Amino acid sequence: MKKDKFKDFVKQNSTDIFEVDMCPLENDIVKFEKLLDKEFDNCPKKINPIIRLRYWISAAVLIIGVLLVLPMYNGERIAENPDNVEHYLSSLNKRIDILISKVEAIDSVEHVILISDLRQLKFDNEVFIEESKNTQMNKYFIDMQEIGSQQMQVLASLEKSVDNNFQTN
Amino acid sequence: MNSIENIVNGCVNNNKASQLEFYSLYSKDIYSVVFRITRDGAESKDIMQNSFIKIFKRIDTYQEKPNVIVYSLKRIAINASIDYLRKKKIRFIDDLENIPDVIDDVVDDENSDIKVHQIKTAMELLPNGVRTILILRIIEELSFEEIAQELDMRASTVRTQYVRARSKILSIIENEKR
Repeated sequence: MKKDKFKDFVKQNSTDIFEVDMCPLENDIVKFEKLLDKEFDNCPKKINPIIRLRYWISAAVLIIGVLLVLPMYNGERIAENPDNVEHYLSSLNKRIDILISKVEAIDSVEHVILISDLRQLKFDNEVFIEESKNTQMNKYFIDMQEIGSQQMQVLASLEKSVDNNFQTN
Repeated sequence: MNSIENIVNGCVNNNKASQLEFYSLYSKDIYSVVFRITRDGAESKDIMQNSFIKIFKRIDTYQEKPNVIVYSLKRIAINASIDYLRKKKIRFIDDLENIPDVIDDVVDDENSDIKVHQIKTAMELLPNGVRTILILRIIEELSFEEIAQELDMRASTVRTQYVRARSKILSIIENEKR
């Protein structure tokens, strides 16, 4: 096949033969950047479907984990069995009973009022136990964490005060 | 500097920095390809930038073969340039009247006194469509079949047009000498 020497010659000197006016390319990158923003900024990023599925599974596992574990902890674990509201409130009521019996031994008007308050607290807890049997446990358990921790503090303070009173008397 | 694979991967994820890096690497080459065909600076810039946008929109198909992407980008730019010529009603077939017998051997002689500027001037005298065939064949190194595909012509017609255009240029140069 005969070599196309004309082609080779033109190709070799193409820069001179086909001069290209590069002036329109000044600052072209700025315009191109705007074009990119217009064309792509509103496009959602393409994510591989398998990776997307893995994201969803990870998110689901994380949410389930948080829902299962979070109710068990609120600073400290407040009951042996976190699902057993009845067990927890019953143990509180046992402590209230002991406290009442101690306070009853102290004969004073102030302590009669205190006994009345403690019995009211015990009654409230019993109502709570009944409601928790008929309602979704988790919701009540979250409420119980707040109420229970407050009751713990009050009871501990009362127990200390009553013990001091016994010693004084 | 990032490898072409990394840049293409960035573009697949719509990473703007990667898109701009890819653009900076190839914009001048692609602009030159377009300008040689359209000979219109502003139009060439638009065609070139739109070609980049087109390739970015389908870039995920090149993730596994990043080396092909520049070739594809060039072909997109050539297609768009030819579409522009079609809109301007440019004909790719010309009868190129008054062509003497082929003077193929003018540049065969190493001592030939043909100058670059003579070819340049002769090229300017060619009709745009035929000139495009010469450019696609000589500069872009497309085969006659590929050019035929681009221009929606028969490969034999493209070959004939190329040979006649070449002869025309050489005859113009010969005439100048006399």
